[in-house]
Amino acid sequence: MTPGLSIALIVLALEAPAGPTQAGAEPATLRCTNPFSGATWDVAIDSARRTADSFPADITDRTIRWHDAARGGNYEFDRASGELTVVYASSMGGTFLKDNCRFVGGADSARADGPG
Amino acid sequence: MNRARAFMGIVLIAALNLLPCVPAFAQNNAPAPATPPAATAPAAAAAPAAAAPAPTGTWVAAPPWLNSGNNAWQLAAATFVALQSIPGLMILYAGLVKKKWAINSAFMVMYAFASVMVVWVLWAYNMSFGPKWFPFLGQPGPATSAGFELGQATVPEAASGMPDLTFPMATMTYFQFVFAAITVIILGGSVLGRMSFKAWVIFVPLWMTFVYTVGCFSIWGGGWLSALGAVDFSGGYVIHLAAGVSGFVAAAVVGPRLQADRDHFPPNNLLIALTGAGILWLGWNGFNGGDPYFANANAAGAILNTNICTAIALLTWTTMDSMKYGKPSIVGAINGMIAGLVGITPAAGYVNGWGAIIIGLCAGIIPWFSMNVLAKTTLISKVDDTLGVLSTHGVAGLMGGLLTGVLADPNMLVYLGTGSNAPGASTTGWYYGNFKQFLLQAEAAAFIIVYNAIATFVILKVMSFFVSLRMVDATLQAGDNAVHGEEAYSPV
Repeated sequence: MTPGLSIALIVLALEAPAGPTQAGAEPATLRCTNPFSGATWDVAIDSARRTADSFPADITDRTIRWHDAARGGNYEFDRASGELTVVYASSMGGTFLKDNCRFVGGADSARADGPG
Repeated sequence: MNRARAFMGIVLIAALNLLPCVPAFAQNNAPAPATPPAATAPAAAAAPAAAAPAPTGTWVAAPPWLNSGNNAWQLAAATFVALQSIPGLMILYAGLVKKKWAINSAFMVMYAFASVMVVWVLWAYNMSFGPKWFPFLGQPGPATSAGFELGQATVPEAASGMPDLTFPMATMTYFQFVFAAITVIILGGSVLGRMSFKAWVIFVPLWMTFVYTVGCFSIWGGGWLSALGAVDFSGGYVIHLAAGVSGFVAAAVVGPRLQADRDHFPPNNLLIALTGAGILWLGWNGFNGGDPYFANANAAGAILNTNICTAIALLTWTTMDSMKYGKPSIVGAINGMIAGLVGITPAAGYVNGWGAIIIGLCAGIIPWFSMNVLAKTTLISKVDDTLGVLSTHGVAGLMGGLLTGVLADPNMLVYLGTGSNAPGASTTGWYYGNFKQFLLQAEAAAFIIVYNAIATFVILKVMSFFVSLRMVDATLQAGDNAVHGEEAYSPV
């Protein structure tokens, strides 16, 4: 491999999208299910804009965290376990709810559908 | 010099009473929404020749959101808690102290109850339960307008984890007032028998404004600790840990009683003290039973757990006394009762009956050791905590809060949930697989301890520039007659 080709490959590698957190990634749908009621609902995860359901989100390779300013509540999705933890504030302190979520379609689905 | 101090004291109180009202006055005094007529007469133009029908209208007792059962329970629970202060703690303190301090001790309670009421409605309620100002504090503002008092109750920053409340803001404001009042009254138990009444008059509104509101908003008002997930069902941290820590710091800063009083401080009337203790116990049905804000199943569970834990703690404490001193003591039984009531407070609706029994056993042992062993060590005994508030409230509250993080049963649903909120609101402790809850409880406790200790110290140190915190020795020798010109028992 010539030095010129090596440099070109390195440059290409640096410029290539590194994953769903890079700009240009497709928005994905996180489908969540309440294990007690079976109720399901979707959360729109936009890795490019770093939002979850339009709310600012902290998106990393391990978790997605956001605060729902409309309903209240802090959300944390664990990509490895697929568990969504919701903390609502009440007048006796916090209240936790646990749901199961997985990505359906979009760039994130291959990474978040299963553990690991 | 004394006049200058008195003047500065008046200025301080005036500033404290007026300044915090300003920011949110307008928004909180918005007029009540006009109620449209229940029925309107048909337009006269539709039948110009016919006589207009007689006006029809009905009266409705309450708006549709108000549930009279819940409102009645909440007001009753608030009154139970109020009774815990006056006369409960008023006569408990009056009976437990030396005869010469009975009036002063009772008056400190009565003054605090009245003073906190004023502070609460003028600015402190909204600092504790109003819209967020900082992550640890709400915006100060009055809770006085017709629109505010009669509107539907809500805790804006903590609404996401609760059903819509079904009583008015006036009920909510009063219910939370009685908790605020009893907190500083409990604190006062640490400084009985020597704190200057004038200093107490100034200290109560300052402590309420700058200390209580911060812990209260952080955990109960939707502040940063509740957003993390820390829990405190009825005030193990917000009330008892705060009062225990602040009381201990206040006792250290104010200074001790006369040595003669420390050596010999017999209760002047144990039957009166027992009457107060009984009111305290049964009043706790409102204290813990009122906190779900609904007359629901969890409220009933909280009341049953409160009584289970208290009974176990009283019996355990009495057993400990008997083993250590050879006799069961009625003052010890009162302390055991209080430790049990306090220990279950942060956990009442989160643990099941077995959890209540375990907390009761711990409440009869750990605070007992704190009072009978730890408090008698050279280091701790330098601080004159008159009624041992650090042990029966601070240690018991801390213990109960941490045990909530261990024993909280996820099946103890505070509210039922449907859809994405199923099965409902509850807390899961370490024993049920959630170690994180224990860590959250420890974090919340650390914040309450550190903030209360520092803020109370600063308030008293600043106050000491303007007013003497401790009575002079001559007054301490004389007692009630020198301070108030009155005595509990006529010498004739």
